[in-house]
Amino acid sequence: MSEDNASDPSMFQIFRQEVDTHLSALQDGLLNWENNFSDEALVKGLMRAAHSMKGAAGIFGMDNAKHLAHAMEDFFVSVQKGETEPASQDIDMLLAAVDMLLEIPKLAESELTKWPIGRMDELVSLQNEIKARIAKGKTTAANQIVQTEQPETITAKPQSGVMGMFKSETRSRVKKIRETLVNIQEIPTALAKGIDAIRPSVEAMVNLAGIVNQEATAENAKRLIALLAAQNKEKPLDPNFLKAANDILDEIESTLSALETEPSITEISEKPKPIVPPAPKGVFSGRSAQVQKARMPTPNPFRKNSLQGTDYDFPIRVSAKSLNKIMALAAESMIEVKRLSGFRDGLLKLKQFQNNLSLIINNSLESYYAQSDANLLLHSFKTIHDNVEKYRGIIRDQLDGYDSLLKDYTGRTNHLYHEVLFSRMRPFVDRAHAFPRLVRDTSRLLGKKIRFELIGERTPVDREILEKLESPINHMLRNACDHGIESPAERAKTDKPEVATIQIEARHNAGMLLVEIRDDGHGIDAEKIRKRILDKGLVTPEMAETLTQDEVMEFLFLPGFSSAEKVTEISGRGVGLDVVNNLMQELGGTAKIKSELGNGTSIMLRMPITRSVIRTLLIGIDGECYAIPLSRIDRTLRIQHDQILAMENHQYFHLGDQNIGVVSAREVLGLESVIPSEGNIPVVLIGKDDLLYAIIVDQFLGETDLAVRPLDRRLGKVPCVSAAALTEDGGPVLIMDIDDLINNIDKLLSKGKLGTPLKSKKADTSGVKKVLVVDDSATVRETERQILEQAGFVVEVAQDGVDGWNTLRLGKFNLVVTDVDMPRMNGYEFVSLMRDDPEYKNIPVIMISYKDREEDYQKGLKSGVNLYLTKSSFRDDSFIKAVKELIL
Amino acid sequence: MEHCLNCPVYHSSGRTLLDRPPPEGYTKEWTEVFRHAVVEEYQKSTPVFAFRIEAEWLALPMSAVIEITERKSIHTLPHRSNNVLLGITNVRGELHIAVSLSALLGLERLSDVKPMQSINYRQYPRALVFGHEGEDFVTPVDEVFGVVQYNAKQLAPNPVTLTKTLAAFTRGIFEYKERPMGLLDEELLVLSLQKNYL
Repeated sequence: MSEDNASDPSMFQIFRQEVDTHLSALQDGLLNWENNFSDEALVKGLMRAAHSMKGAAGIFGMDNAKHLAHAMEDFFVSVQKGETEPASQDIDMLLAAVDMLLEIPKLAESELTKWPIGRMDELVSLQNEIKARIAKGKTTAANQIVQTEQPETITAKPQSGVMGMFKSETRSRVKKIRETLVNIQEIPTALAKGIDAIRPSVEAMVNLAGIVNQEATAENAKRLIALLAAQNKEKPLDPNFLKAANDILDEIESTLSALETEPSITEISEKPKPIVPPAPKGVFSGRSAQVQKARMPTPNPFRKNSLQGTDYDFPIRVSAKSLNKIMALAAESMIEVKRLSGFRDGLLKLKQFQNNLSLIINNSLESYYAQSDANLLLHSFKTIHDNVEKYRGIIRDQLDGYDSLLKDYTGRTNHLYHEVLFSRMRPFVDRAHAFPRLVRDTSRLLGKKIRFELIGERTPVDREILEKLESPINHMLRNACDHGIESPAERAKTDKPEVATIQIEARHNAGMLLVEIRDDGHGIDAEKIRKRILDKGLVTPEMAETLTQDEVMEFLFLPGFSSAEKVTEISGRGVGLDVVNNLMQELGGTAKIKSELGNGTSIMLRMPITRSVIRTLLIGIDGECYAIPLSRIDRTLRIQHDQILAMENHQYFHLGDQNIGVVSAREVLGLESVIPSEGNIPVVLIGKDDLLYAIIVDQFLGETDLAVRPLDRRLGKVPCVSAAALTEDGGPVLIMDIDDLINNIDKLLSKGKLGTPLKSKKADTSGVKKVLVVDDSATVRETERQILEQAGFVVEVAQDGVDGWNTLRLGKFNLVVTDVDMPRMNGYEFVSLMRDDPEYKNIPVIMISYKDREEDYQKGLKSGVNLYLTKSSFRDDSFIKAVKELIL
Repeated sequence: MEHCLNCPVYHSSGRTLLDRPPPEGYTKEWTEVFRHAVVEEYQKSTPVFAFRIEAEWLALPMSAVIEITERKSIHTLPHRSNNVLLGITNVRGELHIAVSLSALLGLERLSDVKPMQSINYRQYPRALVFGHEGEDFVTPVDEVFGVVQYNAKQLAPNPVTLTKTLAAFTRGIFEYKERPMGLLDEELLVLSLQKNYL
């Protein structure tokens, strides 16, 4: 059935993409349909999408999804037949179904058949609802139960790592146990094996819970062990067993959810996304509450990719036209290479020619010295002259040919480059799918009537920029709904149409991308803002008077500046516009707010169409090339060395009426500083207005456009560097991060030296003892690490025997703490490897396990460990005592 | 007596020759030979790439070798570059992290290479792009030889003369054209670079 499909990763990718497409079509279609119930073509499209969804689900054995999609399809068919009269409430119901199905593209292949985990009741209820609807064939007035939602947070609060890990680890154990239970349910003969598999996992849960002091969970896990023992794998399956087991698991899960933490570690490593409140357990009540979640658009399912190795393996969409053009250009390039070899032959010929010529000249010289006939001499000269002419002719031909080749090549390379660059663009609407939904949901939540319009769907935008715009636009939309648009009652008072409008327009203008978000709400009161500015003490009262309206609006971009009186769940917490502003700056663009009190507000974002190319000034520092974005340069100049004055440890010079601090670029970059003692000194002024800094460079190399490349992500953040690029001659150049640079300069100027250099990992740690912790449980690793680090040890971790062996060989350790049961290589094997190697056999080893039987103890000692402890030793300080004893 | 080649007497004599019974023990001998089915051990050999850094000839499994290319300029990284992490360099239009395998393995700097170290007539220094499980690096090498097949059985343990660092990264030594070559552990190399220098 699905086995063949399931094992082929590309098939799975295609499946994911397909599901994504169908669900998008369903979602968009439903929203459109709501305004246009009589449109038959729309219904047909919806039916087809549901049908395709059903098919796709079937291929991978997702029966539950298949049934749900089938119910939806039936609904559309019944509408087509005229048996059902659609209404807004139906849209809610169907959107809820789409929401559930949207989980699917996020699943890993192995999880597909288990969908939906924990939401089966919800699914069944939804399915029944749809079926009931079809049966009734007429609209029902549904009770809209509005539930208040937990506020969404865009940023994650810092947390104690151990709790988060404990949560995620326990959750995944619970999940696996449930799967095994489902397996037992389907195949009763798998009971014995199933229990054998579940038991150690539950035991581990008990221990884990014990370590982090989660008594409730430990108790529940113990109950589960008792239940397993009571079932007794020999006897046939007790009908209550499965229910009881699942009940206990439910309790464990709800305890976990109630824990005061935020997204688990795995979630944090992805882009931060808001916490979506868990679905109400059991009965699917308050359906509209689900709909009014005001979801953030689902993050690209291809981002988190557990299947492939690197982040960049996911497929992306490029128009076929684009790709064809690129192929044609590439093919041409290949062919053209042959022309190049022609030149090599030509040059060889010239070389030969030159040799001949030399020979003739030599001969002529000899005849001259031999004083032969003057006629002969004349003849020789003539020959030489003719040959030189021929020579010139050949060179001229070669040059012509070369010129033509160069022209073709340049032209084609330019085309290729631009075509590829352009293939990075996507139409704006690609990422705008969630906007209509967002506005709809938010407006319903607030009881307002708002219409959403997108102008410029097809405007091409660079893929990366588009991705980065999504979140800020979401925020601005929510803001507009919440603060911008008035309630229907207020609007009626001012003769405005009942349905408010929010528009997003995307267009190109003068080489820039313009994105405007405007609404016809009540606008922003500039005077209120002015007052707030004054209240916050951001400017003097005199200044405040003279600020123009535009300038007043700019203050809205300050972090923490919110003129909303109360904080609502939706917005008003002052986190947001500054993010937008930062993003614009990052992209090299601008953000402006314009508003007319009573009429509406418009936020205008301007950014370069593709961030790939920026204009820079190339400079030389210590023989290497660096680039500074022109937009951050105030000016460049050359100063005489005697213009540099010194005061209290640092240098400065006079410019007009300012004293500008001077630093050497070399010093900022951590190189030896050499301030030239004579001649012109090239200086670049960076900064703004009265906050200028002068950087001494070795030489100016000219202005150039650079195609920006990100630095290898493994390097992390390199100080003072934002990205890299290649110059014309193929050499790498580092593009400087001006903000970072300014920070460093400040440090230099104030302290007289840069802060402590980055601690190199090979720092001399002699005297400090290093411990290697090997355990496959992240929770245990972290716990042990914390205990050891608090005691002053340096700790490194490994997750199984193989990892441990590798890590051991890469460093010098004084002690090893290892678990027993680990994948790939267990503790016994690892210790044996150590004891067999002369290099490592003398390193003390502590083995830790939850197995506390005498035979485990003996086995451990036999393999060569110095000490065998059980996991309960973390409760007191017996662990740390043992460590200290062995090490010191 | 003369016989022409087509003479029937000639014919039958020839036949008799061919039809004569085999000598004593002949059949037995050959039966023995065929009975011992020669099980040729399938000598599985692994392709590795041999190259030289300073005085040492080293090898990496082909699975870990991504590309050999011209050496290009390396740009240092402020506050990050050291003797192992050299910086970034351009390999066919892509920026890669450049490291010094020589420094990582603790190979002694030689002022000139003794003639017997080198294999080629002219030495062309190259850049070696190597990697493991998606993590790749570039390192300058002094000379490359090419692909060599070696048999896992030939691998001898490290001689004591190797420095500790080099020994840690070497799986074993094998001989090729009378030269000892050290087979490097690419997994450990990449791991070490990741952990200690990135």
